[in-house]
Formats: sequence, C-alpha cells, structure tokens
Amino acid sequence: MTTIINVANQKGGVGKTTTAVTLGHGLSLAGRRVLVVDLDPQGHVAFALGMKKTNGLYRLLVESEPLHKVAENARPNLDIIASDKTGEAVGRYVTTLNFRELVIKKALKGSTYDVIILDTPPSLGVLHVAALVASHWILIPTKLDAMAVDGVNEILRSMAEVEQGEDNNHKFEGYSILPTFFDRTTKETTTQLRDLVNAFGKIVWPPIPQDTKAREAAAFGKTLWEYCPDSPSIMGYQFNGKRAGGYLDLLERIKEVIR
Amino acid sequence: MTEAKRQTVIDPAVRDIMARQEDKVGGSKSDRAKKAKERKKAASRLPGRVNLDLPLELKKRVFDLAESERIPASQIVALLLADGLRRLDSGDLNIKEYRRPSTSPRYLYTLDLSSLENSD
Repeated sequence: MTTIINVANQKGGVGKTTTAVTLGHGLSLAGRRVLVVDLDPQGHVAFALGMKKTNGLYRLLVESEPLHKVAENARPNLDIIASDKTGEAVGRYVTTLNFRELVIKKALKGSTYDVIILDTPPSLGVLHVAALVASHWILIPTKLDAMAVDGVNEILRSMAEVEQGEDNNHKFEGYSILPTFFDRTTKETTTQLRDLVNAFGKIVWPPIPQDTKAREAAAFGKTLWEYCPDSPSIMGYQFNGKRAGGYLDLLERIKEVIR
Repeated sequence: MTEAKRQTVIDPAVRDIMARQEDKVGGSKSDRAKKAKERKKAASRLPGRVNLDLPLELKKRVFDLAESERIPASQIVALLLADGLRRLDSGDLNIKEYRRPSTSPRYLYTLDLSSLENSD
C-alpha cells in the first residue's frame, strides 16, 4: 500500500522542495519505490534533479493521462511528476471541477509506489487542499522566523478544515514539523524553536542545519545524497556520541511512518 | 505509591539540540560580561587599525624582528614609522629620491624602494 506524504507550508522558501527531493531520493536509495509529485508551477523538483521541467502535472490532472505514462524516471527507484508554467492552468482547471478536493487522490489511486511525496506550492489554492485530502502524513518544513512559524499555524488550520469537511471524510495519520535552515548561533532561532516546542511538543522533529552545500546541490542538479552526503544538512549534529537532526534522521523517522 | 513521572512532551533529540544551543547562545552571566568586555576592547582598537600593502620581504622582516625581540609587530612598525617621519621632518629622508611617475590614474607617483631593499 502506498503512503502519501505531503511536504507543505504556505510560506515560500522554507525548504519544501529540497526536503521533498532529498527525502524521495533517500527513500529510493533505501530500496523503496518512490514518486515525487511537483504541484508547484515553478517546476523546481525537476530542476533539483537535473531534469527538464515538463507539463507532467497538466497531463495527469487536466488531460487525465494515466500515472505510469506521465511519470518520468529520475534515479533508480525514483520517479517524478514534473511541473512547469502549465501548472498555473492546472489550478484554474481544477477549480471548475465538482469534486475538486479529490482530484489528486483519484489521480494517484492504484499506484504501485511504496511512497508518494507531494511537493506543494506556497499558496492556499485548490491544489493545496486537494493535496491535503490525498495525504496520509503531513511534513511541515519551517524556517525559524516568525512569518514561517505563522505558516505552520496556517497549514494546521487547513488540515483541521479538511478533517472537518463533510465531503472528504479524511483523517490524517499524523504530521510533523521540521525546522529547516537551523542556525544555532542566533537568538531568534532559539526563541522560535522554544516557542514551537512549547506549542507542539513532540510533533517538532530535530532540525535540518543551515548548509550552503544544500543550495549548491540544486545548482548542479544533484541531490544532497549525491553532492554532499557528509554535509551537516544530511548528517545533522553530533554530540556525546549521538547524532540528531539532518536529513538522515528525517529519513529514519519517515521509514517508521511508511506502512 | 509509585512516583509520579512527568510525561515527555518533547522529542529527546530536539531537547538535546536545544540544550546545547542555549549553552552556546546564552552562556553564564560572567561569560556574557567577559564577552562584552572583549568586544569593548576590540572596538577601542579599531580607530588605530590600518590595512596596508607592503612588499613581502619588508613584511617578513618586520615580523621576524617582532618575533626575535618579542615585541608586538604593530609596535615595531610604529617605531620605524615614527623614526622615518622624524627623518623626513629633519630632511634626512627625501621622498623625491624614490619617486617615479605612476601609471595609475589615482596617483601621480609611486615609490621605487629597490635601492633600499638592495642596500643590505
């Protein structure tokens, strides 16, 4: 059975695409069959993997082509549904449908992937809601600044609305908040992390360290596992013989989530 | 009666990271006072700080001298500058002897110090 993980936060620039791609590739390297769906017209999933942006999302949701025909292979065990500027038209088209909240759930139904990761756009559009309705687990990356943390509250409100919506009858299996661009040297980071933990407790997972290498990787069309596997963003923090945080930690936690 | 145990409401890994982070950012009151004092001392030095391009051999000699005399390099440079300026004022040192036309639009002249460097 496929587990659908939604990487979401209405705030832009919080590391959604990097998280979706890194997690997707990490799981595929661990032997899982993974699909990453780019719901953002910016098409950065393909870019981050060194591929061309295509109208895959448009073909899947507007032209109703079957999933296996639209999916493009990115790496062994890793496929993507790419997006490009036609993604804007997808949102407008879906708005006209009667059961628009279910459009992504229906399109992904019957997939043979172990995991599908949805990389959502930084907006509150209809695709955003449809992605929530299709998802089992919500992963919410957030920078540790006031506006990004406010984005976390927004997504949680959207999730509550989806669960309470009469049409959907949807229950999430869980959600996690993932602090990204974590900079241990600033007071604001400390304050925001403490506030997040006070508000959400164990839902807050160990952070992803700020890492210049992570930005470079996308420029080269490489994933972090390929470009900088020993970097802080992958390895996290080490102290007292223990490791915590980074994408390696995230990967292990997500493996526990996958059925 | 069993002892009441507080429920964990924070991921243990996050707790560890936060603890270490707060150590780094905050520190004790005396640590903070010490850092403030160091910052004030560094700030007081700033007005006298200069960044100059020197011939490498000259720079090496200054640092070698500072090392052998166990005197700060800044003070060696200050001594030599003060002495040079004194000689300039008394006429013992004449800049014009070393002046060459500059190719830079910013300066009229540069100094050719090769005669001094070869005088050892």
